[in-house]
Parts: sequence; structure tokens; C-alpha cells
Amino acid sequence: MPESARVEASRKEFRRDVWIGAATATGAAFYLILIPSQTLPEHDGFASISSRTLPYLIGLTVLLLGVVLCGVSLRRSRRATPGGWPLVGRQAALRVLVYTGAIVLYTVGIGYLGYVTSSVAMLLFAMWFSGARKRYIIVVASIATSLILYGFFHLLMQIPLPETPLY
Amino acid sequence: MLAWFGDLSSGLVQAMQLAVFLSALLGVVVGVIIGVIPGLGPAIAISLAIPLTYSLGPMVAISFMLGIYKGGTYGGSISAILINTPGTPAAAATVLDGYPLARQGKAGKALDLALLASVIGDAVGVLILCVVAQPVAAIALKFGPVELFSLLLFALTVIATLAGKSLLKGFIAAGLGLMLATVGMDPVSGMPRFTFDLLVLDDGFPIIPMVIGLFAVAEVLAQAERVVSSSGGALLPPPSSRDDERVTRVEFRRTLPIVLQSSLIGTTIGALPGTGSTTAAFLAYGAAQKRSRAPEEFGKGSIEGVAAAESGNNAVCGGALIPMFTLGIPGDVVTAILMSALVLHGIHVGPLIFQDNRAFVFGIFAMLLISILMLLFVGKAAIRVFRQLASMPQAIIMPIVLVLCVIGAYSTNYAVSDIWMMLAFGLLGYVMNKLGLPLPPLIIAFVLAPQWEQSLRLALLLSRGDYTVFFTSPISAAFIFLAAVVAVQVGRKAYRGRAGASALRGQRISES
Repeated sequence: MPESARVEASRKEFRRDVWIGAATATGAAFYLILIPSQTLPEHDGFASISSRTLPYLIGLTVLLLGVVLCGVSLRRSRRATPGGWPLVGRQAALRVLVYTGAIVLYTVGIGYLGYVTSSVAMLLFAMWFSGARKRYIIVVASIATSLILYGFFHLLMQIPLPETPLY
Repeated sequence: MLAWFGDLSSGLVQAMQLAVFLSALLGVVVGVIIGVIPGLGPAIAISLAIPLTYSLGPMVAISFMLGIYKGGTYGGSISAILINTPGTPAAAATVLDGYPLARQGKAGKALDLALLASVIGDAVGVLILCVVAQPVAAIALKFGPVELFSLLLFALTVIATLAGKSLLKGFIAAGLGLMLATVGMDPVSGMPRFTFDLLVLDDGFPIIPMVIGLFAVAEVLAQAERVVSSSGGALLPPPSSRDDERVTRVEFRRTLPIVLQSSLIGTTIGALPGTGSTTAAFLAYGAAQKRSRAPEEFGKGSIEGVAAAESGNNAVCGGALIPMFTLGIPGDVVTAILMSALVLHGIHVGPLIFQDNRAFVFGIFAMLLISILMLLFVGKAAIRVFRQLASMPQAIIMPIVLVLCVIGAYSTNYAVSDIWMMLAFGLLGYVMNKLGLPLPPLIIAFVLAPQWEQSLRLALLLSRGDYTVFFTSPISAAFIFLAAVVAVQVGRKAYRGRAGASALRGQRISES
């Protein structure tokens, strides 16, 4: 990023930090609300401390930090120069979503199709998606990797892989 | 003193027996390979090795397992540097500067330095074990919950020095780590907390899938943003000069004080029961950044950062054996497993071990000293093999890294839920990287929080709610003082930074 663009990116960065601060404060407030229902009130024999003590301390501190970040970033964004760079382009964001979806399907597939089958399928897709174009290398690398990992983890290290309808 | 040398000489004779020597060497080789693979680690490998060693003599069996311990602790740095995937949680500190160095075409330098730092750290830990095990154990025995709380408080303040550009964001990341650490069993009452009645959360978030997700999966997702050119796109850029492939003498001399300091930190942390190599690595890293003349380079490819993290985490190996041998108290998870292996072979550790099994103990000491060189040679060979990864196409390697991460995460508890957690943390890591929220504070806070809380509450139980106990204990008071000093220094640095930025802005306005 060129120097001029880096300076011009400040306002967008500060506004992003405002959102980070707001999200942090919201998350911390939600955490604080959950404490009574998710922890036991019993004290450790003394009124001053229980299993809720640390969560309350953490929640309040993070809430405060979020509010401070919000306030500080809002003030700085007003003084910063306009303009800025997006975090992630639309196409890049879409690619990340697709890749994440593939990982989700892969994980689900391990339980139904087995480790080897799912891994081969995932590797074939991921390599092509990442830009590899030599079909022979993609196919050989996918199959070899899956078999080697299966052999090492399941056969050698005796790690039990999920049972599937196939095997 | 003479008796000690005599015992060590006898130990050397035992250690040089072919079976013992080969088992230690094999253990180091296996350990390095296991350490490279994310999700596995010395603990799993040693657990699997125990039944394999039933029919072997105790010396051979323990040599094999200690070799795995050493090799496994070092091995995590290789994947940390080359593919941003810490092979062990402790190698998460190595990732911070190791991977950026590799991205600058200096993978060879990072790997070489990591090995040298590991060997020196290991040597310091083993030497301290051999020479002063009993006195050090006596000091470690003085660390009760009060002292441990203050030590961990000091460690948590070190987080502030790793916050990077924004102190507020660093603290927010640490706060998030503390929140995540409160999920699971309450460390004192044993009752579930923030589990939402989900069985899978009863033990909290597992550290290995978390670390793999935050670093490796986040990196995989970041690289998924664009298509890599099919004609090029090696995983890492090639070195621009010969000096990028190795550590130069000047660099070694520059990092040596940091390495020695970190080794002492690692040995000390290792000697404290319940702490481990992850705590040691990050503490050593934080201490090195404070001491460094170029602290702003940390996190961007500082050789001092790599050296500190690796020497810190490898020195734990020797340190953790101190309470194990002398007091029968395991220094970390691995030594707990080693203790059970020793019992199986008829060796009972504790204060009487120097009386009942003196020859065995000194045999182990001698084997540990010899295996320092084994680690150096095996590490050199491993670097040559694994470095080939750097020149392989990124589009081929990163998907392989992903499936390796998946099975690595699964191997932790043999549960698919760990893969889901890894993915969730991967997304979290990706978002945090984009938003400029640093990862080290989150991990340190997560690792330290349970024991910190437990120490606090146990200390107050023992003192019947009297908070002054933290100041009346000299060791505790010293650590609280150090924590206050660090906090003040960080606050002053942050204030000066803001004042400087305002002055610069004012100057630019007046110039325009």
C-alpha cells in the first residue's frame, strides 16, 4: 500500500475499530448476562470469591475496553483523512466462503464417506481451487497424500478414524 | 563433587551401551517427526511408546521416551516456520517470527536458528538438571498457590508487551482468551461453567485444535483469497543470498544472550509443577522483546524472537525432569506420562531415587547429555528434508496442510467435534488477522487463565480470604512488584507513542 494511501486509509481503519469496539462491548455484555445462568453461585467458603468472580471481572474489563476502543476510535476518525482500503475484496471474500463451505462438507463427509474418500475429494477440489492446473499432479498428490496420512495415523499411530457406512 | 563425577562417569558407560544409544537416537528421530505433524506431540507419542517398551530394560525404554520428548519439543518449530502451523502448542511462539522470516525468503535461517536455540536451551536445562536438581527442587517446593498466582500474574502482564501496534486491541484479545478459558470445568469446584449443557464443552476448548485453527487454518483461508499462478507460486520465496539460508556468526553472537536468558526462564518454568513449555516459550519471548534493542521487529521476523521461543520451550525438557526425579511431582503432562512409564519399569521417583536407583538416575543424566548432540544432528537432517517443502507449489502444499490439520485436530481426542472447533478458531483467527487483533495475547491468556484462577482461589482458601497473603510471601511480593513495573513501563510507552503521534500531526499541519 503506498504511503499516501496508507495515510488516507486511517479514517476507514478507525471506523472499523469503532465497530470492533462496539462488537466487543456487545459480546462482553452478553457474556455478563449469561454468567448467572451458566455458573453456580456457591462461594469457596468466603463471600469474596466464587466460580463467578473471574468471569465477572473479565466481562466487565472487556466491556470497558470495548467502550474505550469505540470512543477513542470515533474521536480519531473525525480527525483522520477520508478514504481507505477495504479489508477484503468481494471476490476474495466469496472465495474464502466457498473454501470454508468445502471444509465443512469435508468434515461432514469424513463421517459418511470415510477419511480417505473425503480427503481425496477435498484435496482434488482445494488444489484446483487454489490454482493448480496439472491434472496428473493433482490426482497423484491427492491420492498419495490421503493414503499416506491414513497409513500413518490409522495404521501406524493406531488412531481410530470414524466408522462409516462404507467402511 | 568427586563422587558426583564418578557417578556421572558410570552413567556415561551405561549411556554408551549400544542398545541405550540407539534407543535414544531412534527416540529423537521419532520425536522430531511426530513434533512436525500438527496435532500429535511428545505426549501422544510417549503414550503409544509405553506398551512397545514393556519387554525392554528400564534404561533402554526411558531413553527412547526421553528422546521422543526432546525431539518432539523441537520438531514443532519446523512446521511452525515453514507452514505457519505449530506442531506443538509451544511452537505457537515460534510461529510469530519464524513464519514471517520464512515469508522473507529466510526459512533456512529461521530453521537453523531454531535448531541452535533448541540445542542450547536443551543443554542448559539438562546441565541444570544434572548439577543442581536437588537444590532447584527445594526452591520449586516453595512455590505454593500464592507464589504461582503472582508468577502467572506477572506472565499475564507480559501479554501487554506482545500487543503489537494497538495496546487496546491487545488487551481485548487477551480478554477474549480469558473468556474462552472460563468455558469448561471450574478448576476448584469441578462444576461445568459456560458449557450450555453440551458434553463436548465439559473439558473446555482443547488447546491443540485451537492453536492449529488460529494459525494454520487462518493462514489457509487467507491464501484462499486468491488463485495462485500455476506457473509459479512456490510456498515460500527463495533466499536472496547465502546468508538467508543459515545463521551468521554475527547473528549468533547477537542472539546468544537472549538464548541463554530464555533457557534459564524455560528451565525455571519447567521446574514448576503444572506449568509447561507453552508458558515458558511465551514468557521467554516476552522477556526477550523487553530486552531487545529492536523490539518493534518482534512479530515481523525477528531472529531474537525465534531464538527466545525455541530455547525457552526446549529448556523445559530438562527443567520438568527436576521435580519429577527429585520430588515425584510431574513438571508437565509429558513428565506425568513418563512417571507412569517409570513405575511400570519398577523405578519409583521421589526424594529417595538418588539412594535407591542412583546408577539409573546418573545413566539417564548421561544419556540426556549425549542426546544434546543427537538433537543437533537429527535436527540438521530434518531441516534438509523438510526444507524441500518451501520450494513446492503453494497450490499443492496448502491443501495438504489443511487435511493434515484436520486429522491432527481429530487425533487430540478422536472426536469430530475437535475438527469443528479447529474450523471455528480458524475463522476467528482469519477475522482477527484482518481486524488487526493480535493472536499471542489470546493464546497466552487462554493457557494461563485456568491455573491462575485455581491458584488465586486456592491461595484464598488456604489464607481464609486474607488477600495480604500475596504481599507477605516474599516470592509472591517480588513477582507482583515486577508485574507492576512492566505495567507502568507499558503504560508510559503507550503514552509517549500517542504524544509523539500528536506532535507529528501538529508539525505536519504547520508545515502544510
